[in-house]
Amino acid sequence: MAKTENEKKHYISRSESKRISKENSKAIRYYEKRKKRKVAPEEYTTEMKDEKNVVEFDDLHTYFFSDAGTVKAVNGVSFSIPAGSTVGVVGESGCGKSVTSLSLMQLVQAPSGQIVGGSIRFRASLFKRDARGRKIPVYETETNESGETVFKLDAKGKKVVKKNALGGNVYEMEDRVVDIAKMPAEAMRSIRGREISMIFQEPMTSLNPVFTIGNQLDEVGYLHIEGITKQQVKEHSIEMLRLVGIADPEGVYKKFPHELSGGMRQRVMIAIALLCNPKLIVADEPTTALDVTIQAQILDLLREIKKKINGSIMLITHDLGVVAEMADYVVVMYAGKVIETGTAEDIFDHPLHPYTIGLQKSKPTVDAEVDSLYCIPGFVPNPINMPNYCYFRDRCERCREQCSGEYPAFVQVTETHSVACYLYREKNAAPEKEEKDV
Amino acid sequence: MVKYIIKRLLLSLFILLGVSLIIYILIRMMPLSYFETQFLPQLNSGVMTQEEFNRILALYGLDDNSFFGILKGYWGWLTAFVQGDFGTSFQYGEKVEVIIRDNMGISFGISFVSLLLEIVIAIPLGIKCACNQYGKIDYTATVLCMVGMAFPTFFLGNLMIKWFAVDLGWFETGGLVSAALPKDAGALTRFFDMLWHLVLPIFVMVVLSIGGLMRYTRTNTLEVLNADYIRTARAKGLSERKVIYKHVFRNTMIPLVTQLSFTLPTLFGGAMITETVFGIPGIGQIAYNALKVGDIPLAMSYNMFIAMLTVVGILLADIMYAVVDPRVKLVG
Repeated sequence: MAKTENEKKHYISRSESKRISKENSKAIRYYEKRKKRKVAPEEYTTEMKDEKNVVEFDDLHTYFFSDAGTVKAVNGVSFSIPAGSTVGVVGESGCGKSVTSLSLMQLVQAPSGQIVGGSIRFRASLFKRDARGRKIPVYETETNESGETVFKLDAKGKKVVKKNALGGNVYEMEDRVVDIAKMPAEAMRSIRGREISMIFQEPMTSLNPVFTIGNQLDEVGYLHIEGITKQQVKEHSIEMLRLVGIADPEGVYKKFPHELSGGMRQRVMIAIALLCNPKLIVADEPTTALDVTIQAQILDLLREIKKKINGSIMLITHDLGVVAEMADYVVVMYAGKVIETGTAEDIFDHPLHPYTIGLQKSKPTVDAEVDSLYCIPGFVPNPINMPNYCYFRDRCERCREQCSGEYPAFVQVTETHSVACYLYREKNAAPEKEEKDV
Repeated sequence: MVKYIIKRLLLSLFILLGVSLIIYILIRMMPLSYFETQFLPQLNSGVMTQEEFNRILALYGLDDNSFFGILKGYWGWLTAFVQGDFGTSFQYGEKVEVIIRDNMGISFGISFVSLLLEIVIAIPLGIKCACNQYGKIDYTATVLCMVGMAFPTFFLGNLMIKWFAVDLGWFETGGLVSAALPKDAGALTRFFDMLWHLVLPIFVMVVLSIGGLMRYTRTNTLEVLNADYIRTARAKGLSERKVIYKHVFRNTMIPLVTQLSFTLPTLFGGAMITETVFGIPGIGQIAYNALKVGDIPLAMSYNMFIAMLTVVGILLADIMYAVVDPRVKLVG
């Protein structure tokens, strides 16, 4: 295990530091500019690989340009989220699972954090725009005396815009697969909160302390449901609070965040996420900051609302118990890469990757009596100078000669189960074939 | 809330009492009193006898400089002050309140305009810098603000006078009225003439104070920008403008409003050095002279005025805290 000259040093020389900051500012300027540019929607429109999926991550790279060097937080992540399913993303702290989800929302902490490569394909329903970039409203029609269908006119002789159940204007929509990694920030805004919404880890700090709960809920309604009246927004917000199991929604509507408990705040966050019936809810460790009883309630709630809105959930967690309970598919990440994917059954009953097996072993169990919990030996490699061999090699108990070669490719072991490890072979021993989807 | 304010006001009475005692003792302990400096030549040349001089001192209650003598003098001043008799200035022979009232206007005007300019420039600039952290705007503004902050008032003031008033002759300085102004000039002409004199002092005050507020705004905005709830606001799909001017700004306001409440005394207190450098007969300059020559009634009243404003400013800061931050409740 000969370390390179660079790895041995735990400091950065002045010239090196200068070079890094020069490179960083160049890279940051380039990516910031790319996010701000104006492009035609055609440029970020793509095709789904599999029509059943809502989201497909394909070789996603998200880097942080730090003063110590480039941190490859997400380094070639590929997996997909099928419609109507819950996908659990597991891995230890710092493995890139949160950054993956933030990349999906384009919320990676800029300017140092940037999506630098790969694609995130998302099936969005966007507003159709006319030549001048305006939304095209749908007008109310009626049948006149002679039996023809004509536009309904109001007292002033203007065409009446059709209203949806909430009271918002109806616009012509189109389904379009977009590549979020290439989308400019301005276009991304109509997807955030409306098509994909996010629940964060820390309910205690995720709500703005100076605005009432009602204000923070209404804001989303006003933003994404055009033409809605004040009264309708309020009713809808209160309805959402009721939906997430808040007993006194009218009272909570008027309260400030600090007047609520952690569990209540997380429910409010879920209500905000649900407000526009999103296709996908990204839950970034939604229960980590809550105590166990509240955890169970929140998980039940998430399961319930998934059924109600008929959407998908991307559940990020480091709690294997939560994943086992919630997820249909599981993605295991390690050091910025996906190392194993499969159905929940695959991962829990037949874990393949030595890291996944280690994770399972280090889980506390009630039935077996052990002196101390198992722990995987060693440390995660330094994220700045990642080795070019398997990142788990130095900690692996079943490491082979092969493992010092290049990073292992994904092998599909069964229909649903794939792993990036040299210990396994393709299901029907077909010649090396790259398979990245779930 | 009302109960809290009343309680605080009652408490501040004791603070003011302590402040006035300390200031009175300090002024009395100055080596030369007003009358000593005033009558020393006459005393030395024998025009005035020592007895006559002592009589004058006794008239003003300044003859006994022992500790109890000072206390007695303080008691005399306090009882008069509480009854609304602020005394007559030694220097000007006029009622103190009249002097303060007549000279405060111009000081307040200068301070108010420069505070307004300071707020209008520094706060948006601070937010802009925070949003472009380590960008070109940020570095430029920071360097300029630091340069402004680093200048001593008298230096920058004199530099401005040298460049813009003497060399270029763009502005008038020294007092408030031009020498060339005709005696029969109309009110409007007089007003513009006065404004002409005030450009440089206001400019100096703004340049000197802008840096602090701008850096303070920048730091607070940066802190808020990294908060989780700002990420939530972005995740909702709000535009960057809305995120910054609604969610960030409202939170940045909390420390800023408190900070600005403290500037209340400086608003009325006059800018001592700036006024002296530009020769503006404001309250700051008057108070400076009063302290220098030991004009006890004027110095005491001015200092009490500033002390009261300080106490009110601190109370105001606490009240503003409760107004802008819903988490803070004032309980009596």
